[in-house]
Amino acid sequence: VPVWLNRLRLKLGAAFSRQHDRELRRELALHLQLLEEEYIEQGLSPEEARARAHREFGNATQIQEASHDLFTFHFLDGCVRDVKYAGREMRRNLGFTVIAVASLAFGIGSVTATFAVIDAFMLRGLSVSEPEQLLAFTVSNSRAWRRWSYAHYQRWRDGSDGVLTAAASLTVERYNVSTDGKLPDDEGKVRVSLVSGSYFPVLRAPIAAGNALTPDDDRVPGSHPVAVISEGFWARRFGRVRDIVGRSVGINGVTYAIVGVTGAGFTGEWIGLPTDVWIPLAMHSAVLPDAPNLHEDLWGTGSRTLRVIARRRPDVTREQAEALANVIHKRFVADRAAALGEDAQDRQQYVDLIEATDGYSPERAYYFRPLMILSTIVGVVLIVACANFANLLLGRTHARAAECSVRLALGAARWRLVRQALTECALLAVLGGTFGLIAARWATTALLKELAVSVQSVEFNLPLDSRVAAVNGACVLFVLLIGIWPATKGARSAVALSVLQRAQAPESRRRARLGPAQALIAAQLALCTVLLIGATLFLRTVINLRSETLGFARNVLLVSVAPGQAGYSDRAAAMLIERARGQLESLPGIAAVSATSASLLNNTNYWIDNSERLSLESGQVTAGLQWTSAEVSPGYFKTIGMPLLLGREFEHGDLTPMTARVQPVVINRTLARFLFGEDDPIGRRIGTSARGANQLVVGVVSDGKQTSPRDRGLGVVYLPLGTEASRVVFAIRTAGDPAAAGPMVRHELRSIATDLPILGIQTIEQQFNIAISQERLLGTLSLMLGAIAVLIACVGLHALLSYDVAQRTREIGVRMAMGATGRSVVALVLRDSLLLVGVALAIGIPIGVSATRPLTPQLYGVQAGDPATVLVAVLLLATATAVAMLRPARAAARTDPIVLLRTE
Amino acid sequence: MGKAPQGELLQGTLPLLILRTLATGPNHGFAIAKRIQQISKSVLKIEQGSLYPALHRMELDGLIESYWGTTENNRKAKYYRLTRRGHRQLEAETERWKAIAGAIAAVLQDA
Repeated sequence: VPVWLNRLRLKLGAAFSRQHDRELRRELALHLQLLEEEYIEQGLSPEEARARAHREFGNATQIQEASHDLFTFHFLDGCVRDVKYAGREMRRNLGFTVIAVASLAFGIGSVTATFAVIDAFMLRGLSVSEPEQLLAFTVSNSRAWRRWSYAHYQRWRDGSDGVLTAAASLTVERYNVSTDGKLPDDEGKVRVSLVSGSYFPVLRAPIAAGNALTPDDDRVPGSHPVAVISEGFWARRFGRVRDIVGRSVGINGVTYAIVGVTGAGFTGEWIGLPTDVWIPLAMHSAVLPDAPNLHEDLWGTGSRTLRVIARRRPDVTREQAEALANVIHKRFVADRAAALGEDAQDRQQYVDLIEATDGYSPERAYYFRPLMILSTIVGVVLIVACANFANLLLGRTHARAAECSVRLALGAARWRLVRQALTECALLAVLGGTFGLIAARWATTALLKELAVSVQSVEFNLPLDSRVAAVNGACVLFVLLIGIWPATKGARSAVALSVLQRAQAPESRRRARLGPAQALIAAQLALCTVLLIGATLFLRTVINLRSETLGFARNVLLVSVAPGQAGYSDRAAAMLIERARGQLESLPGIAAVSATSASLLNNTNYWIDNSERLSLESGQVTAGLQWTSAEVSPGYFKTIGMPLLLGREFEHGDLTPMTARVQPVVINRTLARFLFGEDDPIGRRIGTSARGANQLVVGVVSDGKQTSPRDRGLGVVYLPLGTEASRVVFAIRTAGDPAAAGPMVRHELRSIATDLPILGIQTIEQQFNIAISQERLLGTLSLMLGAIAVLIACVGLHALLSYDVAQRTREIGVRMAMGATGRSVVALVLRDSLLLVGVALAIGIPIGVSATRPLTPQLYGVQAGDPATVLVAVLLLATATAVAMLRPARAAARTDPIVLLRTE
Repeated sequence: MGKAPQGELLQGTLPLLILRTLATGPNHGFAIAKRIQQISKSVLKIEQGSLYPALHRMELDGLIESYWGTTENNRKAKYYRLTRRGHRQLEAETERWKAIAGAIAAVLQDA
């Protein structure tokens, strides 16, 4: 048995039972008794014998103590004592403790919260077994997953002979999903994934209750009404009832029996947009009546909608799997070419199989930059908090110098003092970390709420799990490392005699003008300047976007409906839309109702293809202008308040089929200028498709923000709302508050068609706020975090200055007695601090200007390095520091020499 | 940590004496103290109580182990006996002391 183990065994035995002390006492008592008996035998009186025995034996209590001491854990005991002492000290200096812990909690909490979001969104992969074997199908040199046809997928599924097992999926949002036959009142959006039977076996997705879908659930098109739901959907719509298997969800009149619930956070392969319900691909036509029937599309020419994902056999490499996939792909392309009589060479592409470990998430790219900006900001906030912490500890060292000296003089070991200081530092860091974790929990919830209203309606759950806790712990460790030097400085440098020295020569030493404390404050203020410059830029971006003229009214209600999703044919949908439009218009308080195919301010900018060409009747083809198109009903421009500049709006007679030889169009001013310059565009012909210049310009409207508040110089071609009305947006102008009309409109639409999917009801103003949500989020967060950093730094400045004034009370008193005015004393006291602020600005401004340069894509109407922005940031910082300096300066000016003399 | 044995005992001799005493067989504290006095012919005077911290430290070091037993007078007492490590330690220490004593004797004779 090794010695340490023997010791541990005995010490533990002693620590956890009273037996040990009792036995020790008995052992010693027996010895004394035997000695006593021996002396009595030798003929001494009992009293004498006892006295003699005690003399011979020595101090029994001391010996017992010494023995007991051997069996204790000295280090642990010391730690407990240190923690108790530190706790007492922290309670005594409550102000110091609160400030230190709060600033650390802010710093650590913001880092933890940001990590939690980034982790859930960027770092976390699929929660399935062996995700590293999963591969996604795409084409060469593309990082994005490509969409494939069902026919194509089938070839891979059937042809790869176990080397690869392929699965396909397709996710849609549905607004008319009922549970147990009931539709919820506010059509919640439900994300439905149509998946192949192989999906769950291939992904090896965890199932919490019931069963997964199997290949047997995906055999005959239209005859497998079964579903698996997510844990979140189970909680949201079923209240986590036990007997979930056998309950049902309904879509478009078909009832799907629930066979299972996924578990362990699995929400599909689309990270960031969780699936609620999985239904077999066999039910494709029932769920998506408006989409081409993929089971009948033998060569996959009509619909490429499926994401294809495959699991390779563990002994097969990615390259081998890819080679196989390409062989199958080539054969399919060749067969298709032969069947359809087209040129196979033309369609030849190389298929890439990319790692699918991280799942599918196009939103990652969208949120990558904002999250990187955010993490930089919180990193700076943490550094400011750490610098402040170090500063507070340094100040404490000064305050404690006397205590350290006394303890050293009384014989305390120096390492004991160092350990004591470290314990206190660690305790503060851990407390800061703990509160930071709590704050992070609250902050992530708030952050997600903000993210959830944004364009992509990102939803994901954020468990504060071990990974987040590990980052939190790492922050605490970082703080501790920063704190070691300032915390132990006093204990390391204290001199046993300094108490006496201080009493004799208190003011012989002026404090250094730029000691470590001053340097730390200057660094904090410089970083704050950087943060404030960034925050001001984001704030001005939001202000600029808000003050943009939209080109149409903001108080118009937009109601998106999708009859196509519920299976209405084009004709039926068009009739329904026209009927609904008329009925809505007859409602009280509604002034006008029009319809359009494209919602306004929908942030669809990235779909606009610059390469699309416009043709003129002369046959001349022009490119170089970004343009988009939208279909609108008669009266649309009047309804949304968009001024007509020339010609006329559409009339009911214009609703001609697409096949008509000449189609009337309205164009916006930008497009008119681009195509015709100063010439009159009315009556000219243009072409937006391969059919040539078959469109007759009948009107010109002023420019408006069609797709996004950032639209600038975007051409728009308005076409008459056609007969393809699978998805339509009603624009409703009301007499009163448009938002208040929402419920009435919903009710009316319900009464016209119960199963009509209503995608959303919001005013243009609300839509606008959603469109600028990313900018708003960055603006709010950067301002909030900047304010916190400034607050922390100013608390530090205040503390430093107060301490300085307190140290120099005597000097100030003497100066005032000699006739110095309050003003000159304030100047004296503030000189150093003002210098500090000046140095901080001199460092912070250039850093801030260059550090904000990469933010350019996030900004609008303002540039990095904009002088006005820098000025605002400087003014903000100057104001904050002035407030911090106010109190100590006033205290200095009010120093009363008489009072001072009395106390000396 | 613990206090050094009191009295005129040379530092480090007490553990050796204890080991030597216990080499003849397990015994309790009082008997060990008696034996040490006998062996050392009362040349080495110790406060008998200081024996115990030494015993306990040796127990922690794994040189001896303890158990409760009964004395010839039928009293419950804590007995100590050598462990394997204790035996080895005794041999090593004895060798060391012999060497030192020899060296000192040689020095004294030369002088």
